[in-house]
Amino acid sequence: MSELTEADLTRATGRPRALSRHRWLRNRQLTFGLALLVLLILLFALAPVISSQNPNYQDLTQPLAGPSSAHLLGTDNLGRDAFTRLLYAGRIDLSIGIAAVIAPFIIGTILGLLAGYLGGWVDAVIMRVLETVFAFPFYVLVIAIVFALGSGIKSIFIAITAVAWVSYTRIVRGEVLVAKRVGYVQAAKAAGLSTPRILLRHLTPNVLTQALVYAMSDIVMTILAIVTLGFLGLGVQPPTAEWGSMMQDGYQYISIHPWLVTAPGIAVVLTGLALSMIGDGIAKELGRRQ
Amino acid sequence: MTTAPMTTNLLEISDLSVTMPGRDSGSVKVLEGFDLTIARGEAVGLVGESGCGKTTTLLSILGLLPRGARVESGAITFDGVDLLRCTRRQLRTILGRRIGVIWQDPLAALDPVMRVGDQIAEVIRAHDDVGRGRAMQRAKELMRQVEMPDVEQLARRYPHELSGGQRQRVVIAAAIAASPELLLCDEPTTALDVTVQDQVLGLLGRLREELGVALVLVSHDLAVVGEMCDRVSIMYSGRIVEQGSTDAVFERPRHHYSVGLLASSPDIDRVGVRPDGIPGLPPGSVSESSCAFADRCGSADERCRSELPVLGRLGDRLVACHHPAVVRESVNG
Repeated sequence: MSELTEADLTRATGRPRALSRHRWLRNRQLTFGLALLVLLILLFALAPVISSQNPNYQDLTQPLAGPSSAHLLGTDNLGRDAFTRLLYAGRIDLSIGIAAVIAPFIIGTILGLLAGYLGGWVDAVIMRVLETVFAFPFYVLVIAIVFALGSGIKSIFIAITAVAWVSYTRIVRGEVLVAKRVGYVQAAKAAGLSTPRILLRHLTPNVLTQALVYAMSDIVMTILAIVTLGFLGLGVQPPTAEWGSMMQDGYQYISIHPWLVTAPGIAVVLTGLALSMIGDGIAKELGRRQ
Repeated sequence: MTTAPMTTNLLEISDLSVTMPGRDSGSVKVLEGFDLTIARGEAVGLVGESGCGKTTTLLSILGLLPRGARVESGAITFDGVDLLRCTRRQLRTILGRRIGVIWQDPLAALDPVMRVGDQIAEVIRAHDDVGRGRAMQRAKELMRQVEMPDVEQLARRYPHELSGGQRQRVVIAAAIAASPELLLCDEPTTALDVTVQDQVLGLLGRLREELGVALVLVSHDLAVVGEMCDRVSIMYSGRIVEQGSTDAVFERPRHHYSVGLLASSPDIDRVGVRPDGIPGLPPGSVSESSCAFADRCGSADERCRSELPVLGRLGDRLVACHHPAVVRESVNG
């Protein structure tokens, strides 16, 4: 004879439900990525609270000072506090990175929908332009465009948008080509629905998930591009703190003050890691649902 | 268009020929000289093996032929309007509104990320100027009309949350949403369980009586066609080989392909007797100068291999055969 205890009942009935409700918590990649990103965003957002110093204040009496309680990561060659600059740079890099993904995402998705659904000459024109852009390595084209337009945030936006849309168009076009053959698009046409309606209400929701997953990893690419441009002196203009230009300023002193160049590098790696893990985690979650 | 005289025939397909792109640059005929008329309220079956052109016929009516396919000749006239010469915009006022479609695979025919109630309401709103709430109201009425239980609940479900039979009912509800005059059914029960097949067929029969809608039923299931249709067209390799009233064709088939087709379906009265098959495979493309069935036909002679038989009147039906089967002789093969 065995009697059921409260604990047995909980184990038998309560736990599976609790697990299913918090299933996403068991997706460690997603959880860890989100936690890391939230931590980083908090650090960057609370920069004025964490550090009382001005990121652009030059204390020319103390250039290249070592780490101390006043300057956690020391100072750069112009006597600016490296830690404060690191936090403020995070604000710039992360926000431009996210913002610069939105335009190519929207433009690329629309072009992919049109190319895939309409086909014919629309598809031919879009695909020829796409292939031309795709023929160049990503960085070469971005750098060339920024170089032509002159450095600055606006040029970065234009350059990244002009190059990055191709990936979204390719992804969405492929999904549309598959979906078009599937019954529901044919059925919608046979039911007399208008083309805009089929595109917006039926195709878009069905093909958007893949583009969204890609967008997460694309933010990483974009941040890397911004940092690269900064390092080459083509990006965000000084004195605004930015990881790429900080590395550029610091790498000459790598033998005496290695933190000046490695700290922004580590910040880039951590941010990229968090975003990649979120992207992979979402992909895994979607894959499980289908 | 508005003053077109009311013809007795709702749909008239005449001399329709369709080609598809072939393997290397050439094109393959998939439908040749196809004629079919459907009167208002009439149910007509299209029967034949896979690849004989049944689905191509339906897609031609709907203007949904795959890219590369071409209508070489012919006309498809729906109530006086030539569908092949319609603009996309004109077509939209007919498709869904006056012609409804019931698809073979209901799971594929429904948008996976839209609630089924919305999908029915969407068809209503595409053809009637009604508000969102009113359309949803009407969608739920339609769901009751196709005998779905718990309509309030089921209307909020997504297609994957419904059973196969319920999905097909949703497809039917969407097809009749704008009270069409013609329903095109592409193997409406093939994807369903046997027990559900019967319910769906019963529902289709009932709706046909209630709505007075004409029916084109594409199927390879002879029993389904026998039960539902007034007339039947037997198709072989892109052409009609025999056409007549269902009773006449099923009881006294005259074309040797019809004979073989009927003999190859299992018969409940002959338990243990293996149905006869038809030897060989249908040809890949439509032939020009011989009977397409000649190579598989027991009665074929030189004439069958050198001269194309035309569809001609033979008593109570149309047959395309040089040596029609003698009545009664071949039924119990």
